[in-house]
Amino acid sequence: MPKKILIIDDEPDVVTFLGTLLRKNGYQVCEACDGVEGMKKVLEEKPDLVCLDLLMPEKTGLKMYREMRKDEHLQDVPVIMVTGIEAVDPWDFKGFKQFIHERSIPAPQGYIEKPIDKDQFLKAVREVLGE
Amino acid sequence: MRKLAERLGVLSRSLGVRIAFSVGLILWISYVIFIYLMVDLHQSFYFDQIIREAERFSAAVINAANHSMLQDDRAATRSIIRDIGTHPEISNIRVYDHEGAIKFSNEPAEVGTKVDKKAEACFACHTEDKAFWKVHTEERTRIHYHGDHRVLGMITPIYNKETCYTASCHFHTADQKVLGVLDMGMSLKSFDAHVRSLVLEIVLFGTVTFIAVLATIGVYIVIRVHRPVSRLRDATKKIAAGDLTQKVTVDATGQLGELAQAFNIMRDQIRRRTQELIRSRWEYKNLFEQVPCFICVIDRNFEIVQQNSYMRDLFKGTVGMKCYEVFKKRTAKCEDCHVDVTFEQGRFSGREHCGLTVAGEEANYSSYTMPVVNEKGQVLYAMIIAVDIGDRVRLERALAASKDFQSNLIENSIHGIVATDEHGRVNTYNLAAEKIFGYPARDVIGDSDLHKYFPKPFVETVLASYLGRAINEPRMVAQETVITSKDGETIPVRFSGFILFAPGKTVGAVGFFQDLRTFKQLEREKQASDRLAVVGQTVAGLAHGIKNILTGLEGGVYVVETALEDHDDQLLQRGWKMIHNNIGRISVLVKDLLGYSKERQPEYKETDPNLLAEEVCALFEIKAQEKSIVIERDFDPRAGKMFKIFLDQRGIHTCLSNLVANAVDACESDTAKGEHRIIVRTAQDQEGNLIYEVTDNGVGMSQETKRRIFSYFYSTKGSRGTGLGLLVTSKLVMEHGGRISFRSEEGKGTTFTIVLPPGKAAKPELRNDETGSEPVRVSDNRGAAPVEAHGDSVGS
Repeated sequence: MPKKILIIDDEPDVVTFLGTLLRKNGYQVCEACDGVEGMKKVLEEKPDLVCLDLLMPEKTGLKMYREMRKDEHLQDVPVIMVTGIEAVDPWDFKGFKQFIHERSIPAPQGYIEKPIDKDQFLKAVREVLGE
Repeated sequence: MRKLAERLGVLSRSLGVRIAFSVGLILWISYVIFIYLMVDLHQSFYFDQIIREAERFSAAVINAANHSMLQDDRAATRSIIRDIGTHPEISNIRVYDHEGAIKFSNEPAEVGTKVDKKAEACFACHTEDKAFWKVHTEERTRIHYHGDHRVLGMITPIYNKETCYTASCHFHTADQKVLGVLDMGMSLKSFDAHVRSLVLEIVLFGTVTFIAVLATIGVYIVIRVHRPVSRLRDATKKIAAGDLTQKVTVDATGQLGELAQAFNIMRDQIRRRTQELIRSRWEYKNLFEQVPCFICVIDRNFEIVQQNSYMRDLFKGTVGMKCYEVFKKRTAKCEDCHVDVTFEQGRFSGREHCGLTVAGEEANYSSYTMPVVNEKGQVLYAMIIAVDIGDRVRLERALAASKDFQSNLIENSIHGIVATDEHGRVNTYNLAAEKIFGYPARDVIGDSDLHKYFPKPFVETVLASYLGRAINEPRMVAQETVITSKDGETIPVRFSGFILFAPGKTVGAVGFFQDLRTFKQLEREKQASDRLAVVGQTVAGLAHGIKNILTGLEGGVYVVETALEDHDDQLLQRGWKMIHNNIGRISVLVKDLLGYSKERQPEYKETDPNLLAEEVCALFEIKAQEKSIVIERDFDPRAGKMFKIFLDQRGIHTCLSNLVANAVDACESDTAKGEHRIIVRTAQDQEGNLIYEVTDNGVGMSQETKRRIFSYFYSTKGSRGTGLGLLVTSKLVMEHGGRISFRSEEGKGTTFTIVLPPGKAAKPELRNDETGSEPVRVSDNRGAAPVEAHGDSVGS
């Protein structure tokens, strides 16, 4: 039974790319384009792993992550955060780390920075899934 | 006991008690005299009555016995006498003969006895050697006691009448005058009792009326005299003790009432006078202490007797010190002392002094001395009043210093300063002016032909002041202009000119010239360095954008490869579209960058601002309709009519396009509202500034977004935005000298406002770009871009 991975990103290119990559490596993939749809999907599909973009319209990755960690059914679902570039938008990544530290929210299981390196991403996915 | 004695003492001093006592005493004496006289009068009256009665009775007895005697009927006579003697009122009755022998008596034992003519009862008639003849009735009476009561004795002579010596008995001869006497004693018992009761009644009545009258007088005195007098006394005591609030209320009329009234008037007068006295004392004391002069009183030894606070504070002298010690810290009298004059001649004197304060500072003062004389006109003290003229002296010095300072300031100012007097002649021309204009000061100062040296605005200012004309602005705002120096060099300067006013007239004009040569140089350098700083930020943002696009491209390549491997046509299409899209993004990014980075001068042309706005609205009309968004036009028809508007049409077109494109996106992203509308408004304010406003009722902005919309490469639109749109817009607005602002509420909508100055027609020589002649059109690559490829350029 292949593991199911939910990809949430507002950029269709990223979704297509990561979807293709994961399917090619034998995972089952489902997709969402923002936090609202993401929450719906994560409840419906019960994925084994969520790849979550930090900055999105509607509901940001940060908000969705916080909601997941508060929900008793979802708080154990592993999450890999996909983040933008810290150089221009320093709030993105460091701010996020600071935020979860201050609010005593458990840290996500993995981080991946854009541009996404295929091998690094797959390695992170495997580590989180314990393969 | 002691208290009682005190009280009695007080009472005894009381006027009322004294009056009452005097009145009582007089009254009492009067009563006593009156009663005594009354009793005496009554007694005399009744006694007289008794005597008359005794006389009549005696006469009656003699008459009664007359007949029997003439008959010489002794028995009958004896019987008559005896009968009369039995009457209770009759104490004794007897008849003596000529020789004093008792012939008849109510006491038979007495008959035949003889009385001595010298006896008390007989003495009245029978004085020695004097023959008895008629005597007064009173002399024939006597009072003697018989037992316990008084008896009135009356001797009545029995005269010889014709009938007697002619009687048959011939007992009496005709030569006898008095035949004998009737001695009758009438008891006064009832008379005395009556008189006693009368006396008692009179005394009783007298006493009762005395007491009543005394009491009435006493009450009257208490009410009418004692009380008002006590009140007056108490009030007087209070006034004596200093309490002037007490008013005497005496309801008596008459003298006491008048006295009380007079007293109250007196009290009011005293109170008013006292208050006046206190106030004037207070005023004088205040005046003495607070007057801004120092005042002291010195005696003939020049010792200070009194001084005010101002002097105390300034010189810290004490009473008893010599005046010269205090004022000048000297040990001996000043050589130029002018107080002598006051003491010796008793007149005013005064002069200016320079003393030393306690802090060792100079104290300049002008001092006047006046004599304080006693009633004999002798000068006891001298009062010194001194006005501090330190300020005047200091001002004089400060004025001199300030004049030096100002001339130094003017001479050494880095700005050129040129001033003229009211006749338009130059009187100030400093070093910097000399340096700017190149003419030497000796030529310029005093010269009134200003056209030779100075620029027109300054000459006009001077002329205005010289001719006394009022110009609109007596103070000309700093303006940049160009002057030509003596050597023919054109020098940029900032010039400001003023007309100099003294109250009511103009006294000249002044101009300031700031040499801008260095400044202009620096400005150019600053612009260059700013641009370099922007390059740094731009490169970082660019790297970010490129990285994102790279991710897309790499992903696309991977997807295409995978699709080729798996012969998945559908995936191949998606991968190819990814590559295509990202190449498109690179294209947009490059265009935006070019748009932003291009150093171009705005090309000002006279523009109809409403036409420009209409073109932008028309451009977005179709796209908006597809998304059910209404674009409303709210154009001010007067815009561009009252004032001509000069704009860089391409630039402003781009700005408006960006704003409208952003508004369309904001409406599209908003799913909450059913209807969306965008309002494009034009207006012109009173200063001629042109206003464009783009309002939408889209999603609005969060605080975070508001804070960051003008940042480099900040976008809310993910891959669709470059993060440069608003940046480009604001850059273009700035280039126009305008400003851009916005207000936004999350969930409600956003309004962007651009305010542009009317601008000026561009100088022909500055028009170095042939595109400047192109008509305004959508052909601007930036204008079209937002509509198609990436929605818009707004960098938020």
